[in-house]
This record gives sequence, structure tokens and C-alpha cells, in this order.
Amino acid sequence: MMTSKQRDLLSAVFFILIAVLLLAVAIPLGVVEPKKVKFAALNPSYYPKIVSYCLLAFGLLLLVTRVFLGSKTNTTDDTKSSDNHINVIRLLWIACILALYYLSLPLLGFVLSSIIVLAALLITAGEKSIVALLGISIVLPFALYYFFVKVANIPIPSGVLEPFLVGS
Amino acid sequence: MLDTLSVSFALFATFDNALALLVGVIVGTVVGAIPGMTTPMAVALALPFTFTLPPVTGILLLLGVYKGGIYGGSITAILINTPGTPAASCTVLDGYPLAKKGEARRALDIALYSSCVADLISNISLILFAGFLASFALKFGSAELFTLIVFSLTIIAGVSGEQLLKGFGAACFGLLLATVGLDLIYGTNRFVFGQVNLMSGLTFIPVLIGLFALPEIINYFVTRINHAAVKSNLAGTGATFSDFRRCLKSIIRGSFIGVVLGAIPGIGGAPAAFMSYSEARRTAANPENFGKGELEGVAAAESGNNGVAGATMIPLLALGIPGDVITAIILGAFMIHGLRPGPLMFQDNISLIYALFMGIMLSSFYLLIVGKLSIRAISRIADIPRERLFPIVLVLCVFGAYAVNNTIFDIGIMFLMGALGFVMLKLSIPAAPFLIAFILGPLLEDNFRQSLLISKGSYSIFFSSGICWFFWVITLISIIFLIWQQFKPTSKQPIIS
Repeated sequence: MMTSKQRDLLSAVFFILIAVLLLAVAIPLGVVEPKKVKFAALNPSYYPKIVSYCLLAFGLLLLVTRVFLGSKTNTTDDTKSSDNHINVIRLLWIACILALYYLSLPLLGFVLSSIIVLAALLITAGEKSIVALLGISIVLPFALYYFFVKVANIPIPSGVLEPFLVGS
Repeated sequence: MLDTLSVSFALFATFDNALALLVGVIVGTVVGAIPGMTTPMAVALALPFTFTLPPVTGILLLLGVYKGGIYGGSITAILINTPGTPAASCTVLDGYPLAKKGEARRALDIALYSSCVADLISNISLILFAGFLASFALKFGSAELFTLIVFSLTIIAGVSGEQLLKGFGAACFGLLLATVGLDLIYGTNRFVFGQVNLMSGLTFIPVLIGLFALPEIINYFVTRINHAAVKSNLAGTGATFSDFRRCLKSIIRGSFIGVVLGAIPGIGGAPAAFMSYSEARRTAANPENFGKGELEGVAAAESGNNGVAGATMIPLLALGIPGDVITAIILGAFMIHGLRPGPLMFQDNISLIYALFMGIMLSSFYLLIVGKLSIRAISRIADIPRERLFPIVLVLCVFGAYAVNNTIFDIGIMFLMGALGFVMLKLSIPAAPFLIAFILGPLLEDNFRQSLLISKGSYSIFFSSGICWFFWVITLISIIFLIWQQFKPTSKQPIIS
């Protein structure tokens, strides 16, 4: 469990790290600058640089105020400290489910992927009713698929179920 | 005049018109409530159905979808922390905390009443001040818009509460993410890294869903709290008349903010909602309640956002300039029927304009009826146990994020934003400043650079008109007020995340 001071320090480091990465790597590599620019302010990298420097300044200010000056807000959000108990194994499990969900969408299609993910998440959440588990896992993806395809006219990738879904 | 009105009434008062408007409001409300199904998308989908309809009927159908969609966006914002439309993103700040406290129906009621009042005020303004507001709106050049957005951004300090520096840091993230895509002036790539999908920038909806809905879902699965124990009780908890009366000041103020901003082409509902929210918080007796589930916060956000609806028609009808994507589609509908909105239409087709005004007025009442009837059924969503609701919401978000651009890439963006949102949640970095900056960022940068382009690099353009000075002065007053609030001994402000 982190204290509010630890969270502030981590936030400061997070801001500083992102700002440095932006200024040193992302902006030089990611922003294409034209050969000739009328005024410095029109340069495509001008605005992202200003915002990155601001981010760096806020990160440093946060660090300084927390390390050297302390803060009046030490305990303000510790009331929600129970929210910070993270079950690392569960976090990894959820991250795996989401990553596999994303990767399976173009291969298995939205319906089949969603059925599998819904079932996995419902079991993870502790769903005990078999009827609810099967009902939600199967009915919802089909209902959403038909709504988007038939009503909203949005083509949803159907993957391996294409022969069954597209003809219907 | 009376002849014109009687012709207009005859043109409007048909069963088909009344039915088309009702169907439009119902469809708009349902579609607006589905994350990923945006109001412009719903209006665009309804457009082909108007080809064979008479002009008034067809345009009223589209207007019904538009108005229903704007209100519908607030439903999921309140119930599942997922704004159905970008304009409803401000509603989540207090709507979802109210739903968590078991007051979803109260929040939905106030959102509906605020929407209807704002819609009515916006419609009356459209009828009475179309000409005046259109000429005032035309005075807004890029420098004036820049100062207006700078003023709107002062709300970041307000919603950050005691986590002011973290709020500013989060806002920087939002501003930076808003720069992804092609540069407006030179057309060069910014943070695209060879990914074609990033060239048009990050889409609002996947970012919004990722930032607000996913962290909540991930947190549910990885924390050890028994969230299932949180049970809402919706029965008999609708808003009372005294609730409405308490919020009325914010509703009326928000409606007028929406009307003025709606009349300016290119602004849209989200900045109006945030500005209205900011003003409500600034003038509230208990600003510390904002972000914790303050009914007035919902009222302010919804009135600002709905106040825009009628007003965006002002530049369209008076000048032929579409103020946003939706009015651009509606302009298309006018043109399909051989009509060209603008000053000439007020001379050549005045009876048609009055007929549309009559229909627009009716839409406010339809919105009230449709909303009231749907709230009871829709609010039952908040009673679904979280172990079932969260997996359902996740799948709904995936379909919704895909539907915006028909690309799986957006789902990846949504998941990445969810991961970022979760880190921010754990570090107590407020998400609201990120969202505000992400929405207002493109307007800020585009108008900043366009102004400098016009002035050939001279910053004096930002002080060149009375409107600019007005916004600088109220920005300064706001900052002084916020600093004073920070150092006030009794100050104890919430973090809105």
C-alpha cells in the first residue's frame, strides 16, 4: 500500500520521465519539421515542446514540494487506501485477457472472441450462476453483432464465424 | 406576417412531421446512450431515410435524432462512467459518483430536466436572436477563439482540487495526446511513427472510454474490495422539485453559455459543458461537493451541452455556415431537397423556416416525454451486480470503440488509455484535467497558430479586440479566485477523477 507522499513522488518521477522522453526522443524522432518555417511558433514541434517543458516543470515542482517542503495534503486521499491493494496476479491475468482479446479480434472475429472473454471475466468476477454465465456470454455478443451490422449498418469482423453470420 | 405563420403552421402540423420528430428523438436517445455510437453517426445514418420525405419532415427527423442523441449521451455517462458522446464527458464528473451513491435516477432526472430546459432556451434563442447572434458569432476570429479556450482551460485548476500540480501534469498529457496526427499548417506528421491510423489523430470516443470506463473495470478485478457489496437502490429516488429549483440557476446560466458558444461555428457541446460546469462550481455555496456527486454539477454540464443544440442552427440557418459535423450533415439534407440555408432562405422560404422552428419547439417536449419514460427502464442498469455489469460494459466498449472508425486499432488505443487511466488512478492523478485538455487542445493549438499566421508572428493579435481583452480579464479574475481558494484556510477541495 502506498502513502500519498509515495504516490506524489512516483507521479513526479512519472511526469519528469515522460517529459524527458518526449523532449529527447519522441519530438526529435516523431515530429517532422519542414525545411523552412516562417516563424518559430508555426513550427510543428513548437507547441509540443512548450507543453513538454510545462510537464517537466510541473513534475519538478511536485518533486520539490514533496521532498523539501512537505505538503499539507499528506493524508487527504489515504482514506481511499483500500483502493490501492493490488492483486498482482489478477492484474497480470486481466492484462493477459485484454491483450489476447485484442489479438484474437481479427482472427476469431468479434462474436467468438467476446464470448470467450465474457466467460473468462464472469468466472474471474465470481459469477456462480451457470445460466447467467452462458446466457450473458453468448447472447450479448450476438445481440451486439446484429445491432451494429443490421441496424447501424456497421460491418463488424465475424472471423471464423463468417460462414454462419454473414449468410444469416 | 400572419399569412406566413398560417402557411408555416399548415406546413408543420401534419401527422408525418410529428411522427418523424418523435422517431428521431427516440432513435437519437437510444443511439446516444450507446458508447461509440456518436450523434453525428446517428444523424448520418438517418440521412438516407430523408431522401424520399418532404423537406420539413426529413429535416425534423434529423433534428430529432440530433437532440435525442445529445441527451442520450448523458445516460451511460451517469450509469457506467462512459460518456456516450464527447459532449457528455463533463456529465461523468458528478453523474457517476451520484450513481455510485445509489442516486442514479435522481441524476438521470436532473440531466433530463436540464437538457429539456436548455433545449427550450436554445430553441427560443434560435427563433428570437438568430440574426443578432450570427453577426456576434462572426466577430470571433482565431485570436478571440484562442482567448476563449484559454479561459475555458482555467477549469483545470478547479477540477484538480488539492492535487493542483498533478492536475496540471495530467492536462499536459491531454494537450500532448491531442497533437498526434498531421500538422494543421504544414501537413507533416507528429507522433505518427509510420502508423497510418494515427495520421488523423486519436479518436475521442476510444480515448474517453479508455480513460473513464476501463480503469474502473480493471480496478474492480484487481483490488481486494468487495465491490459487489455496493448496491444501489433506485426505487423512489427520482429528483424532487426542490432539487430542480436548487439547480435552476445553474441550468439557466448553462443554457445561455451553450447558446452563445453554440452560435460560434466550430466550438461544440463539450467546451460549453465544461465552461458551464466551471461557472457553477465557481459560484456554488459548496464547491467542495463538485466531483463527489453534486446534482448541480450534472445540471450545469447537461444544460451547457444541450444549450448548444438549437444555437448551432443559428449560423446554419442565418448564414449557411455549419457550426459542427452534425449541422454539416443537416446542411446536406437541406441541399438534397434543393434548399440553400443562408440569408436568402429567410426571404425565399420563410414559411419553411417557421415550420422548422415549430418542430424544434416540439422536440423539447418530446425529449421530456421520451426521457421520462425511458429513465425508469434504463436506470435499472445500475441495479445489475457489478460482477456481471463490468464484463458486459467491457464488451460494449470494444464494439463501441470499433464502430467509430471501423478499425481494431481504436480498440488498442482504448486499452492503452485504460492502462494509462489505471496508472493515473493508482497515483491519484485526476483524469478530468486530462480529458478537458484533450478535448480543448486542438482548438487551442489551431487557433493559436492560425492567429500567428494571420499576424505574421506578432503576439499583439491576442490583444487586438475587445473580445480578447474581455476573456483575458475574466481569465485573470478566475486565476486569482482559484489561487485565493487554494490558500483559503477552510479550503478543502475534491479531486475529480
